Amino acid sequence: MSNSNSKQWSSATPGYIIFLVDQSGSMNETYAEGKTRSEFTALVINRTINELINTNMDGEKVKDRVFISMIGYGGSSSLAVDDIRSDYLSSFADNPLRMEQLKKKVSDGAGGLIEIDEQMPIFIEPTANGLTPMADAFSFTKELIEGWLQKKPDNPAPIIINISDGLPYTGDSIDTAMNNAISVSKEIMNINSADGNPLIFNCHLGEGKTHSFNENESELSDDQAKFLFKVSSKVPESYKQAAVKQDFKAKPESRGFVSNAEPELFIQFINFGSSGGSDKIA
Amino acid sequence: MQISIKGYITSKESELFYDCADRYAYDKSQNKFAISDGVSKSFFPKIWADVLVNKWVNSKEFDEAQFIIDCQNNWLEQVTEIVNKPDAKWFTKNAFNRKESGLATFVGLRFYKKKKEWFWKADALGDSFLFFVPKKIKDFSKECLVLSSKKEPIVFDNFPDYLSGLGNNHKGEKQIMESPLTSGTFYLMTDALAEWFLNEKENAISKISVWENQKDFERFVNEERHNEKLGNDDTAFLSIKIEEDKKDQLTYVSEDVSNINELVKVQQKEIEVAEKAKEKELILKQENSDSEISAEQTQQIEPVENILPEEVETEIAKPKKGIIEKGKELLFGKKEKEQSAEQVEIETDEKIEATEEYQEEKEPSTQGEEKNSEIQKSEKNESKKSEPNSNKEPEPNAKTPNKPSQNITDKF
Repeated sequence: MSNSNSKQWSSATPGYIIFLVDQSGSMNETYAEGKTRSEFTALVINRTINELINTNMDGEKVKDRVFISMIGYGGSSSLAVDDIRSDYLSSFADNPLRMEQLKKKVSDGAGGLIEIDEQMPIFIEPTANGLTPMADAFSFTKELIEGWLQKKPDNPAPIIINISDGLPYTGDSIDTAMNNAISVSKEIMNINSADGNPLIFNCHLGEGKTHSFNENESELSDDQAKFLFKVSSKVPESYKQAAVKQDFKAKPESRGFVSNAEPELFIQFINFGSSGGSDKIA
Repeated sequence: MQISIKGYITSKESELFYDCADRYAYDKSQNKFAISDGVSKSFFPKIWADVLVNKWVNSKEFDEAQFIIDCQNNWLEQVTEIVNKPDAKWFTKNAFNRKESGLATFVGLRFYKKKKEWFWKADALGDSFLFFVPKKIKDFSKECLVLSSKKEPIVFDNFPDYLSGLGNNHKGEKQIMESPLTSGTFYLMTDALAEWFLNEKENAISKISVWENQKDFERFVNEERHNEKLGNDDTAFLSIKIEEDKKDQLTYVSEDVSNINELVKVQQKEIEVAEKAKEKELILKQENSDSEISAEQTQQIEPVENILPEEVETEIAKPKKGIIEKGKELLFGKKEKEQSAEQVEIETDEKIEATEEYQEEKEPSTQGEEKNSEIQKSEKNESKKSEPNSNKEPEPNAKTPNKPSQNITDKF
């Protein structure tokens, strides 16, 4: 479908973003800016939702042009899959978990900078515990997508952004866990909607060699990247511009993933994945 | 010359007139007309669009630089008042502190007399358009005058030229057109309708000619959106029909122009009436179901996160909430906690026990609270690669998501 995943987000036809968040124990490892992987992930998701609120409000009212689910896996117990929070955007805006006060420098309009106070809403707190039941998280996501499309068949195809620091693992063999995750991800990517198939974009946090937006599995040297390639959607035409805007080289057959993402790349990738909220609104 | 005016406006599908950021205005004494489209991603765009059109049509002596400054001051005054209200939202205050600005497109048209002859002059910035269709048009593509700052080939997107509510950060260069006033019709349109007009060409004229009132316009908009011929956007239309009567003066012979503020008021009243009717209906239903709670209903109730045991007990101890209060809650929505408490009210003791068990299981996952230190410690000492070697036995009950998908899909 040449115009797939191009439906505009609107109050009449809201988009759906699902953040799948690896909350396994290893997310407790140090990542960047003195923060652990789970802390940095929470920071990026909080900022992203804040940005979605800013771009979808008219000053005093937030338009419900998107429904957001934050699903954690690991976290509350070894193999848990938790709905951290699922709501329309205005509900997030009206009820953050808490607010943090920040100092921010902004343009003074005359070529200089001034420091201002800003309230940063917190919607997700960092958690690192348990194993990595990614396949279960994908299965849960599949249920959500099916439920969404049953009620909203004409809406934009859902977007899943999976953030993880490792391969799936549920206590048995890694290969089994990987195969399960690959199998369910394919089922999701094969779901049909009026706006095309749901998209799965994957971001892996790590420090090894970085791979992103590759076109062929053969280009990839490690198992981690090969796995991500398999569980990621081809980047549709409608997202190519967003990829370029975030400095990614999106080729015709590119898959939407980054392995061993460093902080900057991580942020760029989340901006790319959630771009429906800023670039495709009426 | 005789002048007839029509003006209609509507919001995006599933939004209210209150949300509409398009505006138009005219002043017969000044012979001025304007239309503007507040950019939806900007800060208080509808106030900015409103200020622009109203100040422009009401101004007598026109000094453009001063006009913009006056508009900006007015916009800032109104926005500051909102931001300083005690109930202002955090995102409103943040955007205000960041000095975010209202942005809007603009088209202004005025008629003026020079040496006994009437002229028209228009300027346009952004993707709002002015079209002039002469009375006896033969070739639409050659004779229809088109004015906007959109460059050829015209592509409609979400990034138009605009006037900014703060500073000099305006985008684009306004386009001007001027000509003697002759019989025909001026159409001022915001982007979605302008795009439709450009696509439909002469067909558009005959379709527009049947609009007699706001309802006709709304019906047309709904149909064309359904047919995917008209984009789902705020849509505003102002037409000024000129007919030669061999007289020296301009005479306004008819006006059928919707006022957005009136439309907002009417719609709000309609909503209030509908809500009251719904409330009544719910109360009746509640009264009927109070005596007997079906087993099916009980089965459907799922344990919900955040139910505090105290609340559970309080609700059970309380015989019944006020019916009206309950009706209002059902109608206007409740916080999750309140919902949970209410659901518990009709649960059996057995179900409450299940809820408490669920809470116990859920507790470790509460964000920001203490975690299972044993697992954490073991995970901390091992890299992600070592996760497979973890000796930790998977918890048998943990495979089922703590919160079933039904709880989420119900919110869709």
